[in-house]
Amino acid sequence: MAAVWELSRPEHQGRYDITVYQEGWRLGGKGASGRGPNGRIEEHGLHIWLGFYDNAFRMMRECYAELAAAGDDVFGDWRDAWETENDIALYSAAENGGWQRWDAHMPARAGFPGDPLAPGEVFSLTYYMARALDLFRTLVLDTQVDGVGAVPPGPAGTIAHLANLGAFAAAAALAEGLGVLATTLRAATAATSRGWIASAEALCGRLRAWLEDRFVADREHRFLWEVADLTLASIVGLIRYGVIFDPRGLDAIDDYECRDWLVMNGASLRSVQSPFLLGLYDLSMGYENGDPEKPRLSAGQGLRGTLRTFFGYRGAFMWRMRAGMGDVVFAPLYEAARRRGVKFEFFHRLTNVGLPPGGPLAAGERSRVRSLSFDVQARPRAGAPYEPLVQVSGRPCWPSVPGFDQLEDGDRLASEGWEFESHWDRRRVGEKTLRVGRDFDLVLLGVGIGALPYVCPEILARDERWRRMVSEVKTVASQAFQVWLTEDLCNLGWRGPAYITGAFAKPFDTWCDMAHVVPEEAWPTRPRTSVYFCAVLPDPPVAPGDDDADYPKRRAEEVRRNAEAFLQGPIRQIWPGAFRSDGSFRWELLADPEARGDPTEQAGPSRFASQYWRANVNPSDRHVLHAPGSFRARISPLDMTYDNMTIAGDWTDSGFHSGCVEGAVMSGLLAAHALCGSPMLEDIIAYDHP
Amino acid sequence: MTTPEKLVSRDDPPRGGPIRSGPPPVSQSVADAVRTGYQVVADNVRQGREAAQKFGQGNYNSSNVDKDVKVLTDRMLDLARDLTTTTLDVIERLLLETRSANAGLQAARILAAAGAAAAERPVTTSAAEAPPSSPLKAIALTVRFSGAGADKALDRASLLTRPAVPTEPSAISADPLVTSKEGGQPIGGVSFSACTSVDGVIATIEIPAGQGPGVYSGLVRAPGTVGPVGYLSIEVLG
Repeated sequence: MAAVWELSRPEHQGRYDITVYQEGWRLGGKGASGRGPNGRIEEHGLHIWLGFYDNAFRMMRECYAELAAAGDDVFGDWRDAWETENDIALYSAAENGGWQRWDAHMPARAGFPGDPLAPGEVFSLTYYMARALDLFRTLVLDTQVDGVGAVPPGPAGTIAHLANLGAFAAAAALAEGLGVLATTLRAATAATSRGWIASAEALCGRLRAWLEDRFVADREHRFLWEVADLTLASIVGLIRYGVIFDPRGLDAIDDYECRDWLVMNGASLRSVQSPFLLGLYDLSMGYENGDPEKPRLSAGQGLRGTLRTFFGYRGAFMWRMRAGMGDVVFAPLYEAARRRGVKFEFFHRLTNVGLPPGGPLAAGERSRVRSLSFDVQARPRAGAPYEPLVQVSGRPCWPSVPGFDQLEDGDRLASEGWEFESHWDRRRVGEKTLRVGRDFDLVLLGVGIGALPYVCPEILARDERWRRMVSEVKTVASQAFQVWLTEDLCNLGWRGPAYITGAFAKPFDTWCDMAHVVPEEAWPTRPRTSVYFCAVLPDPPVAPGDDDADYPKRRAEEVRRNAEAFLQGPIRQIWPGAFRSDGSFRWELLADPEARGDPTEQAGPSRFASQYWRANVNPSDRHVLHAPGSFRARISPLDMTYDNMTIAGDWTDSGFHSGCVEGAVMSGLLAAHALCGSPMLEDIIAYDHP
Repeated sequence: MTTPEKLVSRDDPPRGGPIRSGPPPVSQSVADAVRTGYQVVADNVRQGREAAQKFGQGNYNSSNVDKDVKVLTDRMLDLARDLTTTTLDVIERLLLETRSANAGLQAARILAAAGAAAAERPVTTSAAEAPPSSPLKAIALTVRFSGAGADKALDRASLLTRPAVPTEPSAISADPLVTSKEGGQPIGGVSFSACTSVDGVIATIEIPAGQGPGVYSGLVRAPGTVGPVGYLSIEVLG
């Protein structure tokens, strides 16, 4: 949609006649959401926008402004659509069992994501390293260390606690010494760096030793120590590996696994097992085949993402959407694009991208797309275009199920349970083939990488580079569930505001209190909150066959079992008020939108059936990883192998190789540039980034 | 749609991937240019002083006078041209604008590091006087020569910054390159282009046969941008 947004700009004066062909009934792919019973929001997972998503925010700010200027104020101001979040909670396993919580608060910063960069501002590793030293100060001044029961009672205990904090501040003073080095660093060049590098590495080593001597046995300060240790390891690694002046930037270390690389540069084993790093892996879903025992992320992109996350955010560290991502992002984009003249054809599943006759493509050989083949999954009733949005609380939203009443033979399709988004449901009502020159000139292929073998088998059969990309750019399935509660989390014993929580117990290591979205729903009796959980979903040892129609249901049932067990297990530690004195979970806390079931069983586990859960196992729904070395297999939207086609998605070589909104938007901007020369590459924020 | 006989193809993008090493900071580019400029000044002044010192010490051999004075005169003319026509004026202007973007501190630091050379002609305008400006961003510039005199031309110190609005390379132009030397006709055949095999913009300067030797300079302009976006300074050898 980012590419559609660019190509449909009024500045192009209608030069491009754009039609979007979409599988199923809604836009958004992995970011799609729907409205279910009582207008409740049903997401693919937990979506948080980070404060450095400059390109994504810029697009949405333009979209909201354009709609408002056109008199369509139903979506409101973009600042009302996103809420700031500067707090995050991380967990680590306590030595005596259970979990220990660490709260981190990141300071708000000036500006908003998507603002133009400051004059003269460029992305460089020397800049980041200088800022990394500031992080030491930030951590000390702005991080609240709040280990459970950590502060001994009484004045003496409080004084001892403060003394410890003061001692850590002394460590920061040593870091300030590195600030002098940072000043030198800003003026360093490859030619002048030799002496600087040697002294910097030595000083980092001394700082680490000092910190370790002082804090390694201090459980209360463990979190601070671990973050400091990882930061120092990163600085030393960037120096030692010559990354600072390497023309490849952080790609120079992208063949290393992130944790291995940190250990090689002096990070302690306990630091690479810290909640800080585990939280980053959890948020990135960086586990091979979804196996929590196999964390696997590349060092270069891992560091790039971390640097952007901590030093590149503006306004707030994170931004939470007011409602579902479909409602806040894709509904306004759809409305604005349609106003610009973009056409949408829903219920079209791509089955092949046709090329001219020939054999395997030789290296450097070019080809072009000759045809596009689709399965038509359903047709709108004659004379009426399909209207995909529904109104919930006065706002246009995507429904969780298609508008069967708008479809030909819709009653039958509904009763037979046609699953338009399921890879394993290949039912169709017809086929359609588009021909180049007759039906289209240029193609933008914007599907998930997991779907490529099914949407362009001809290209994969003939193009070795595409086969390599599909093979080496790994993806992982995910699982998610949402609960709506009749009591707020504070009442259930959770301390603190609505933190985003990571590094928690498996299988649902990441969760967030989403009370702020409930007012956007349409409950007769509003629940007090809703809570979203998500995590990777391990793949089975043998991949399911394409004819295994029951596979999604089996995995969804597995997620349901996981969710029920989770509520009765690890949740006890953080929501003690959700349990009775006999230790059983209070199932009646779950708000049932339809008040269904036998009233006598309302207090039992069967009430979970009223909540929402899903297994994201469709090939196109799988989350994209950045495994070591895989960056070489990614293909850029700027690639010219196909004269009249480009690609877009967070799996491409977008400059930011992470499965996230920003990577997808950057890729879309590159795709637009590939098709029409606009936007300028220099205007894609952080595309030219180490 | 187009006809099958005339299918639409994409244009080659200016480059195929990100610049991971990062563009050189504007301040660095400008500072390098300033340092080069001041080095030219310093060399000339130093030689002038040396000559004056020889005169003052009274050990100057009269047989050397004509030759040395001629060299000194030529260099002072070069210096005057450099100072008054394009190079340093443009560099200085860029430096001032860059200072307003808080990047000039580094330029000033490097300038200071240039030592005595910088002291010969200090920047006289304060940062407070710098006009508000859009961010300046140096663009890689490759200077090529064509024409019968191409093999006698070389690039001395050229600079191109990013125009204020998106601009096709072919829309960029240059004033005729002029020299103060007698007989040096202005060089007007300058065109700009870009291709994927070369980073940045290419300036192609046509050197006619018989072009007089000397240093030629001219400002670069772009439509929609107020003021020059850079300069070309080349030398045609005798």
